Amino acid sequence: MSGGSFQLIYVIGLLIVAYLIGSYREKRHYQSIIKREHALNSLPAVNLKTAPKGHFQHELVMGNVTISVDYFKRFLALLHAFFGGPITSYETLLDRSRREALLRMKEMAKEKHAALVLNVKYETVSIFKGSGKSIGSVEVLAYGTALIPSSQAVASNVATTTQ
Amino acid sequence: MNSYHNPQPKEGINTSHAHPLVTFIKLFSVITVVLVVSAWLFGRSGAWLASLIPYQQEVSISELYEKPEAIDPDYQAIQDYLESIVSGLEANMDLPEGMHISIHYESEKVENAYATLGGHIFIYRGLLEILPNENSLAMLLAHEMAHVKLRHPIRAAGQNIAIQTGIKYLLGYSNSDLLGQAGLYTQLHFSRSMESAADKEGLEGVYKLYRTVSGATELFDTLHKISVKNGSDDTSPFFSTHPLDEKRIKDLKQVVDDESLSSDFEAKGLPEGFANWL
Amino acid sequence: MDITNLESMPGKKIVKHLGLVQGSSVRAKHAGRDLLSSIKNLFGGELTSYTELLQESREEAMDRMLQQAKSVEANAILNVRFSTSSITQGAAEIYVYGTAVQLEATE
Repeated sequence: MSGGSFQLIYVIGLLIVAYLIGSYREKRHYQSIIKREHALNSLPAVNLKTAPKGHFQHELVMGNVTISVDYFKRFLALLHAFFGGPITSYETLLDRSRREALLRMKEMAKEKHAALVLNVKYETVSIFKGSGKSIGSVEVLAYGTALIPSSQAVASNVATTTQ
Repeated sequence: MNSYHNPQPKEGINTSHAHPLVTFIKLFSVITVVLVVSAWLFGRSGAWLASLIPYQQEVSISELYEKPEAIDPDYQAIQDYLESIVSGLEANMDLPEGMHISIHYESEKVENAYATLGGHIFIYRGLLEILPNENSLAMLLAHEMAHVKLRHPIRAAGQNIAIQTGIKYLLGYSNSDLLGQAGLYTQLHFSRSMESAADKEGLEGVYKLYRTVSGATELFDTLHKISVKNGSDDTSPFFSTHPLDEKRIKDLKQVVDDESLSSDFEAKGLPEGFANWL
Repeated sequence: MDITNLESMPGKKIVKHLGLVQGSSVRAKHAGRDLLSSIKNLFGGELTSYTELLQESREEAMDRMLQQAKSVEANAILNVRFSTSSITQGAAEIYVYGTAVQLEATE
């Protein structure tokens, strides 16, 4: 009897701690994502394959991230799974992972002085934990081709010709 | 290049706006209600299905799990004495044909006695030591025998198995060693109404054998007093599985009044040397 | 809103590229459906409950992508890609993304 109630208190305690820390970290992560996204808005990324006219160097750029979901959200997902339908507690996990992966890709492209990233693709892998009943974390890879203007002179030339 | 822009899409399109705590509380309470209701339904249907199992089948199921141990010669005297009371009660309790009760004495200082599958009754030294007379002992045995007669162990086992498998299926676990996990050969929990039915059936058996309710009705008063004396932190298994509340004692007295059972004769004392047999 | 998995729209030209837009949806089927499906799995054939589940999911993901495109004032989404990943047992995520653009008719 006392063993069972101890376990219950342990689970409830863990849920509360996981919720508080998990939602705090999520909020912080979103703030950082939004800030960095605004900073990188000068570098567009599209999944089209046709390059604008001009001379560019091409280089593969990528960014990946593995983010895990907190215990509270995992527990909530189990409750969701009982009824079926949308599992809202995993939405932020996937949203954060995709945006973070794209940001890291863009940061890599920025370092190479790219002007544009073409043909962006995402690859998502869920990393299963335990018996495979619950998700532990998810890895997202974003990759694309960065177009780096061959020289400053060429780049300005391109800007006028694509008008 | 000038045609390339990178505006920021609106926030919160790919995520839900419901607060996770609100969602949690909503889902959790609905699941609790669903589980409680379905556990009740599973239990009811499991108990009903199990009660359809013939008694002979029940005996062979119970033999699969545990064979009763051989009797220790040191406790032959108490074993013989218990068996003599049981056979006296068997003759007076209208047991169905083919139903045989096996009594097992356990020399452990535990205040406990229980009936389980296959007509086995276990009684512990701790409980025998506090009984005042033979009629109380007979009442205790008759109560457990009545459980067997009314098929309570198989019904309780059926209920356990049905609830466990049903809930597991609902929650999505599917593999399990059914019988092993339900704990077939251990103490089963009977419902309040099962206990009351066994009290009534047992008392009638004892009355037929001894022609008096003296001692029999005292059993629960005695046990109640001990449990009160031990205080609220009393954890002996017998009291936790046999709630000795006022209502149960009152119900038993009602049976005595309704069937006008007499208490003219004195209760029969325990045989001499009883304490040494234990 | 034009949605296509072509790189360009015939008869129209791109006047503005507006970056990536995306939509996603994670769904699980409920316990009862799971049980029925495991029985159906014995005999093979279409698991209609799963087909429906994924279709619902896809519609929601598309709708979210559309909302993102509207919020950046696009009038078309080009080169749309779907990807499906199974997140947990019995739950799947549908993810759809494309490039938001403004198109203009050419004479």
